[in-house]
Amino acid sequence: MKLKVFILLLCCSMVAISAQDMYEFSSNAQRNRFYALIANFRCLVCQNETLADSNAPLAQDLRDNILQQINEGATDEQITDYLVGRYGDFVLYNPAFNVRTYLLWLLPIIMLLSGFGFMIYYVKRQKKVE
Amino acid sequence: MVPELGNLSIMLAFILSIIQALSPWLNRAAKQVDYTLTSACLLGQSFLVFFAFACLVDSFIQNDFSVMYVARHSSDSLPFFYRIGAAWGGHEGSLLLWICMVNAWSFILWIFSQRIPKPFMEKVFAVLGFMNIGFLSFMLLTSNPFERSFPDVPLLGNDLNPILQDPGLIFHPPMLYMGYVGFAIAFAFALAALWEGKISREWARWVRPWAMLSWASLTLGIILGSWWAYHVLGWGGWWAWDPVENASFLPWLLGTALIHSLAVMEKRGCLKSWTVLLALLTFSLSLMGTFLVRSGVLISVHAFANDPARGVYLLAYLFSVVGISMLLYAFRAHQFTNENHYEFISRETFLLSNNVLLMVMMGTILLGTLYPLIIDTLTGVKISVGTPYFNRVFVPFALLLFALMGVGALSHWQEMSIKALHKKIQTPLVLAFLFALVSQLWFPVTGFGLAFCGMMMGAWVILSSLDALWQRWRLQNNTINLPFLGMLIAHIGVGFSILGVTVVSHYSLEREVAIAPGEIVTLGDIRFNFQKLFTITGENYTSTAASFHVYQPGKQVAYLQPEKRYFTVSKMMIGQSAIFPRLLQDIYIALGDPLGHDKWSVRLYIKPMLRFIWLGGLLMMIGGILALVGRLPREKKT
Amino acid sequence: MKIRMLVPFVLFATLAILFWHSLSLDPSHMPSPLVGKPLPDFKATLLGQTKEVRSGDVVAGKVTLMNVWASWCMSCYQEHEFILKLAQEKNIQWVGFNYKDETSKALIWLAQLGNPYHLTLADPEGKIGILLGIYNTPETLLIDSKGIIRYRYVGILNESIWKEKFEPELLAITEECGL
Repeated sequence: MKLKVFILLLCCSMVAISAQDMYEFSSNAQRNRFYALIANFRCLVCQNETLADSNAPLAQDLRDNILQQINEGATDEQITDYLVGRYGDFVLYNPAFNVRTYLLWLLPIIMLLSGFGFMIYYVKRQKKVE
Repeated sequence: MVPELGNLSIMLAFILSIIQALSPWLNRAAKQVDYTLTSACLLGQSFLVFFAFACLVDSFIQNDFSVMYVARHSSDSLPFFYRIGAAWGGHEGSLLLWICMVNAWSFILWIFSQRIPKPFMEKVFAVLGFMNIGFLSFMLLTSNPFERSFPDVPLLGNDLNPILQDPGLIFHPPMLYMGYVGFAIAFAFALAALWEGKISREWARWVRPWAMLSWASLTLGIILGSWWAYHVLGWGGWWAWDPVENASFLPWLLGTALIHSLAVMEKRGCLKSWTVLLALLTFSLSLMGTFLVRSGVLISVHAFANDPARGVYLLAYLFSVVGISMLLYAFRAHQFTNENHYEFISRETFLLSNNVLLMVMMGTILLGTLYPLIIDTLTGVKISVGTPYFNRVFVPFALLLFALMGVGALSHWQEMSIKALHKKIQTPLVLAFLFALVSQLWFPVTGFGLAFCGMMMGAWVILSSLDALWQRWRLQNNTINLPFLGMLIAHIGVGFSILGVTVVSHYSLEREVAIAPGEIVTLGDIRFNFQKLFTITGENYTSTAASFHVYQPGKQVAYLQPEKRYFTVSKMMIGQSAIFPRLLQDIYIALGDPLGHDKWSVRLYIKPMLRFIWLGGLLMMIGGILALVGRLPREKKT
Repeated sequence: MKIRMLVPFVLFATLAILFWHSLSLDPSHMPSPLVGKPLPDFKATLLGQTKEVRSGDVVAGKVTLMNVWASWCMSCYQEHEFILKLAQEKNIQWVGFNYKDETSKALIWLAQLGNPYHLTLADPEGKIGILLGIYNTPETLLIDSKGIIRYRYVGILNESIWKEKFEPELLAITEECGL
């Protein structure tokens, strides 16, 4: 009897305990959504970090809040609107596409096209001057 | 006494800089033709400025807290090397470092420019003198590191910010400034050419080594910054599109365009005014970066303590230097006539398109960095522009650039038929595609296949460069010289960086756990065994350390010890991540906060091929230096 | 030919003007998107008690200044004396909002330094704070008698801020309600 108890205890001591994840999710899709979301928001206390990276207490609170909203079934858009409604567009590291940001999103491609357009014109034009 | 000597040196250097800037006119007035005045001012300034810097470093070594700057950035318990690094850890000291760099470059330029016509060099040094006037007066009026706090001398210093207490502080700022400031040489050469109203192919030959050395330094400086951020900031990131990071990337992009444009100008005699413009703009971006960092206009982890007065002064300086150069360009540059012409399909066009792309990439990053400022000015609304934006707009442009890069390496000067081009790119293209396919075994397709494109582009750049080498060896094997090899190595470096960025961006693993001593956690095929917590006392901190044994199937690969350090003087707590570095895979642990019941939050990262990014950067730098050395004029020609 | 050459200068000049203007801006200052909207509805316990109140009930019918503070916040300590002075005006009610704090420490703080607040709400976990868009301490919200948030200030309250930012808004409220 003592031997059996001893063997049982020995077996228990050899099973190492696995650490728990900080955040529990009901599915992989939700986990991916969470990590994608928190990388897109700006921490308001440590303003050069994302919510994912910041150690500020507010960042932790907001991460918990987003986790809760995901678990309650909110969509990415609803969560974004919730945070923007309280902290403004400032909290979005991925700028929205609205009247204020048309230039931001469109100028790069405009620059590219006009840059190449001008270059082609310039190169072709100098051919004629022999 | 020592700080006063430093202060005096700066004042004397300031006077010399005025004389140096005026020396062309003074020489004319005195009917001098040997330019000893210019040389004397330059040498005198260099000596004085270095002496002042030595005085500052001495004040730090002695921990002279009566000097306000020292009291703000040092303490009795600060380790010796960091006391030296602290000399440039704050705004005033780093400004002095910048000024030292300007003078170091000027001095070396003076030594190695004996073959360039003196009337021209006189103008170059006058421009440099003019720039120094601005920096030295800025220091004397608003940012003097030698200011004393008599009669209230603090007994203790504030200590250096713990984040700066890292080897990165010793290397990154000096190297970065070496790069930033080096482009002032190209700038001065460009302004001197505009001043004279004429320019020749020779001008490109003179400028090239200086531009290449600056570019190589800036590349190394940026790599060091990325390396430093990675191991200090605690989340395994190597680039955050932070405004100040962007401020260093902008001159790098244009600097890359500049060295390519100089190549075209030297070989073919065209793109003259474009090259001059690039030379002006590259340093202008360095100056603009300085303004952004020190004026408090942008939020950044790098930003020095803000002071609007400094911002105003810097802006005035920026406006005068850059404004004058842009005006001179507008009125004089059209006089520069181009020599040869080239067909649409030619190496010249490919290099020009590389320039266009680099300029567009620069413009895009500039737009994103400044956009919050623009919107705030126009509407008062605060928005943020961060990593998601930059990645989205930058990556497609970069892929296009890499595609063109490979084609350009295989193209001929002046003209080439489409058929010939087609034939040349076939082999490397197919091989690159195969490479990307094979890589799927280890790195399977995700999302939009961006990773696949990245792998293919990285391979394409490397293979097309190797193919260029093969072609040359096969057809004309006596023309494989140092400059050519340098170019190849630099391009291959770009390929390595592309592969590194692709893999680490798409295939990193991360896990955040609450763990107590004795527990294990797995990530990928790696097992982490949290042994115990213990305390360590360092020179100026106490830390809680966690010991981890790391196992890959079969054996233990590492012992890692992440810490949480509490610095006693500054009362700041920072994490010290533990990294097991390997070329193919980094293992990274960051210790978080205690959660109660013996548990701590810990973040674990596996970063595959991260070091390829920096290896690529080092290869770029080495390639640049080889190309530079290969072009230095020799006494006898073979 | 020549006009094209002026493009770099023009672009640069525009940039310089932008920089000049931005020197007078504060990049970390953030206006609240809740200004102009009603105070969100929430329930909170009073500090040190078990009684719960509704936000709407607290602000109804009176002009309220809600001051967000905590005992660990040095800046809150600095503005407290000024708030004590302001609280002596009878027609505004001061409501304290104790944010992410320990109740015992908060109560001791008030006892030692003086309590200007008509009542104090407790938010030890910061959950209500998120609802209100609070991100720093101290913050002060001005709420009119209809429950609309009129202004939000982040930072230490002092004489000049009060005169510059709050008094104009208070004047506007008074004129609207004919108080």
